[in-house]
Amino acid sequence: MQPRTGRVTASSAEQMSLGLSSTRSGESGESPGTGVTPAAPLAPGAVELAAATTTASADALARRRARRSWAERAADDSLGRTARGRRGGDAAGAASTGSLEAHIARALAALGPAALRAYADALSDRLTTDRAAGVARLAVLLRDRLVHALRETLRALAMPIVPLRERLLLVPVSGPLDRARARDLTDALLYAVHAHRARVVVVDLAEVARADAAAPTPVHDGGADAPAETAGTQNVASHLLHAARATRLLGASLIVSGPPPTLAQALTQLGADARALRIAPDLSAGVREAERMLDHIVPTHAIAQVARWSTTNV
Amino acid sequence: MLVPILKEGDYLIASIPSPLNDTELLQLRDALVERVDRAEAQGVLVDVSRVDVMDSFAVRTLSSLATMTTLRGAETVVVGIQPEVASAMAQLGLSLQGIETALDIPDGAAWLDERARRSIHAGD
Repeated sequence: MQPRTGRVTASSAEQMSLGLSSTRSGESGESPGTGVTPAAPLAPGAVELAAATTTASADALARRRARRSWAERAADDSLGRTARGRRGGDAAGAASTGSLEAHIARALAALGPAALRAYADALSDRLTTDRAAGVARLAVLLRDRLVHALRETLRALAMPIVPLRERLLLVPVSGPLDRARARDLTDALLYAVHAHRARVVVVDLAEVARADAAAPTPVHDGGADAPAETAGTQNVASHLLHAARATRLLGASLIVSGPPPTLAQALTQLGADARALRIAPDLSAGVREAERMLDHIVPTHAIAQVARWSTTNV
Repeated sequence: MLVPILKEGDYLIASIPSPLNDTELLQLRDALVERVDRAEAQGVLVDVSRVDVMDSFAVRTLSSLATMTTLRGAETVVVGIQPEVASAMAQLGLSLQGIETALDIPDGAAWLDERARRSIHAGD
């Protein structure tokens, strides 16, 4: 019986209304070995979760377990012995709760063993249902945490920002580019431009194009899928254009290299003018264009600096 | 709040220390236009790196400042727009029409230098 009660992790405050006042000291006095480590019988994932739960709920759990074991023991054993045990616990630990617990023991003695057993059974039923709910909640929490962690990892891995040369950033985007990622890209890009003092940013979408080609959207009944696909591309295009305009406000330019044909089409449809956004057929053309712009923009006194920088770094 | 206007070489530099209200913005614009005339400046740099909000009025005022200074022979460069401000402006569809932007004051000055150099070459 002890281990099973120990497994219930998600304790609700409402449960506490059933329980009496707490008895950590009582527990240690009574049975030092039983259930002192709450997380011991839990599944590996649950240990982590239990650690993350608030101390309040951990306290509630400990209190409830102590209460239950005590009630059972009170029902099974003779009341006098339990009361003695409790008194011993009081002497060892918190003397302040002593009078209250003595009062409780007296109240339980008045109830009698049969009533106590019924109470223990009711408590046991309640704990069983709680356990199922707790496991379900735990599963949901673990899944959410996993999904979040995976998403963060993906975000970090899939969108590196490479300072290619002084004042030139390269952002190779791989994998399918959806709306959320396009938005992340915009934010990351703007902060990177600011931090690196970039003049030109090349966003390479060649890998995106490859991903699109490798995994074409399954077309079951042609007409239904095509418009949705176009809408997604348009969204990405508008995000890219937004990124380009914001980048320009910072004083830098954006070059999109190797965009998938549909995206290139959507970009031109949205009126991406050459001033806001340049499109290059592939990465090398994009970088060439960027270097040309940099040489064009960088004033004479800085060119010497750049030349020195590039010779020392080659 | 009075925004100090400094003269550095051929350029005027106005560093906005905190977000300005509409009246202060207009005052700054008028003061800059007047100084362009008086000091015969070739360019104006408006540093907005400490401005965290740019509404449509601010954008319009800066645009009109650019037009006015251009008519007086000086180009205006807005420098130091913060990333979040730029993102918000792009989202709201506010663009600094006809205004040059640069990352910071040295960059803006470099752009003005380059432009002056090119216009000299064009004159040859």
